[in-house]
Amino acid sequence: MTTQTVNSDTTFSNLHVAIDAEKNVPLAATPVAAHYPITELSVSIAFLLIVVLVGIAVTYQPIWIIPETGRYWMVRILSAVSTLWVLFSIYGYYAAKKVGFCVREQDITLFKGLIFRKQITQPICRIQHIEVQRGPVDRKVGLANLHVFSAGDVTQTFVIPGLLDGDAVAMRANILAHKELQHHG
Amino acid sequence: MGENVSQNMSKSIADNTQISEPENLIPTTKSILTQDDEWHKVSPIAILYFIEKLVVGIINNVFYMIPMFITLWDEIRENPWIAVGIVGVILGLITFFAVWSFLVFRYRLSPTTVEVKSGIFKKKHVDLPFNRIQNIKIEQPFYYRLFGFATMAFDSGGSLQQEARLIGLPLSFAQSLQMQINDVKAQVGVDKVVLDKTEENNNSHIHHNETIVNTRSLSDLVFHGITSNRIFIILAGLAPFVDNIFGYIGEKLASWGVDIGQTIESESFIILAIYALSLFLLCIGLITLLSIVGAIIMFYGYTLSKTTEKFIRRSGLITKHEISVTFSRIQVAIMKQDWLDIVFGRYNLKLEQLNGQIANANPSAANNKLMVPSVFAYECRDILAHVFPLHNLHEIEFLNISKRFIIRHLIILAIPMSVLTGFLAWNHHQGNTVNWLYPIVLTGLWSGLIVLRWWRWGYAVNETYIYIRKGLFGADRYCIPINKVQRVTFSQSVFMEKAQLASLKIQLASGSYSIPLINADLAQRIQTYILYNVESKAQAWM
Repeated sequence: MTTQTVNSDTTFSNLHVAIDAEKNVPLAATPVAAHYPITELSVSIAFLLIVVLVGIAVTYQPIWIIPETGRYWMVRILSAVSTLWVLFSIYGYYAAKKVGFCVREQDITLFKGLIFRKQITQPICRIQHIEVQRGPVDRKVGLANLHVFSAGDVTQTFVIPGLLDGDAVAMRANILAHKELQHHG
Repeated sequence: MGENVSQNMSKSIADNTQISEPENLIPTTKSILTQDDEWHKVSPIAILYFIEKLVVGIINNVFYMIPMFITLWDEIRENPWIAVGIVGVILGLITFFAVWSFLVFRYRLSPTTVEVKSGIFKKKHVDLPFNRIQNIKIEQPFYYRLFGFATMAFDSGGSLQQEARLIGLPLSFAQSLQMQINDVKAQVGVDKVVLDKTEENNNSHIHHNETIVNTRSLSDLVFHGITSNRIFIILAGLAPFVDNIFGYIGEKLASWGVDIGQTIESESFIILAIYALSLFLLCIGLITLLSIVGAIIMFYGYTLSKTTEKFIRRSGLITKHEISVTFSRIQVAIMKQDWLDIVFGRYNLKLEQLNGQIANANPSAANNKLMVPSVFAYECRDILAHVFPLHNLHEIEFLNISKRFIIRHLIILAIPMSVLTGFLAWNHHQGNTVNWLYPIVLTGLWSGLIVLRWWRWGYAVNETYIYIRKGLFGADRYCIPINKVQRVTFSQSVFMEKAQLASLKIQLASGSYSIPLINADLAQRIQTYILYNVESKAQAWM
């Protein structure tokens, strides 16, 4: 055990020599658009309202009368689901506040998570392609999502959500420019 | 060996510069790829394509519509016009959305990229540089063939969502576009095109520079059959006849006067137990035998040979399979060891390329795994040295991950389970004393498995490779070359931060590999080191 620790230590002392501290700026998160968390929360609550309204309408509509026990359970299930949904949305709101990114010369990093925090770093030279996506609500409030794809991510995609429209487009252009440089240089 | 490869590479680069020397290649053919900033529409025949896609989508989701039909069934029987109305509305909506999709579909070509804008609600803008395109497919559904149109699918070797499609182009246009993009790719760089060219060259005089690296004897295959279940190969072959076989066995048993139901009632418990045990052993024996046969069918006459830049595997009893894998495309090496392999001291060596799902989308990369069955550690060392010259996967010493792994999984898995089984035991005691045996034994077993899992999990890092070991009864060793990494994830929950721990997930083109719960500072240094290596050298990953 002791020899192993020593072993790993010598390996990593190499490492610090190899990395030029001057050239390697530490990662720091820039928050995404200030109105992204509230947008997320509103969308989530609006969706819940629609579901609840439809649920109530179905329960009490006069065409197909639902028996009393049916109504009893419908109402209970709806309220339980809504409570959970609201709790998750509130968690989501605070989690959305923690979403940030960091664009360095050589890589892009996404920061996310309130309790379970993650830092996902994508080297630009490994990017296969990028996409700017806007949902209907995003377009209304001027937000955009930047999707970054590298080889092999079938299940997990790298998405920076809640960027200001202009920022997302600029980031995309910036990254594309970087790749062009690589191939001509 | 490494020098050999790099020499070869530099030679092929030199070749490439010669190939691309006539720079007038693009201008001479009548070029489509001129810089114009206009977005183009495609032919209205694309509407048919969108209709097809929508119809397929609806059919795939027909399951969810069953409740609707059930509730409406009575009314439909009374008044068939409702059904006609519903179908009419659906058809109308399909046409409407297909036309709308067509109206918003735009594409733009520049000398280096193809861009596609699409989507009604979710606007999508795909921007695909030619040098990232791995594969161009021209598809012609029957309704396109009639009018001489085609769909072009660009596959960029990444995820399925990122493929771009040009729908409804005239066939001749599509073909010349395909040719020109290939030309551009050939000019731009040392990309896939060049690699394929050298492969072709080698194929022509394949026997001259091929050397055999490893062969598997019949006894090796018997070991392989015992340790890993190859029975599925046989079962897959038998699948169409399974019903007949079971019917046949049932009839035979009945004709011998064995009636299972009656036997169980009449015999004593001990005799029954002996029956059960011998039946079980018989099954195991039979399965093992079949598994050995399966291994022989698949790997008979196994040879692994190599040329300067690839491995070629040949094997098979009935049909000879040949799989060749270019060294540069190998992402990860795995020495797999099941518990029986540990008993015999054997490994299955696997060399993985692109992720399986991508391989499906991209048929040229099918058969993406190269396996050498039941080899010894020293053979793994020698085979792997051709691909990863500096590796020592076979003898590396692994560091343990934090013991917190055990606590975490006890909290997530074992405690809820013991509470549940405890509750069930208490609930079922029916007036007698509570039987605590089951919950205690089950919790003990679970905890034992968790500890075993923790004990198997190990990692080691040096300048060129990351090594991971994991498993439960068996142990698999992974060798991950740092310069092939695609993405790194550093994760740390609030609780982990307090204990100064963090987890790393390393993503490659073949999949992602994680090292959970190690010292946070170390994890960060590993992350920084990986990024520095990948970004500063920017070596090709395939």
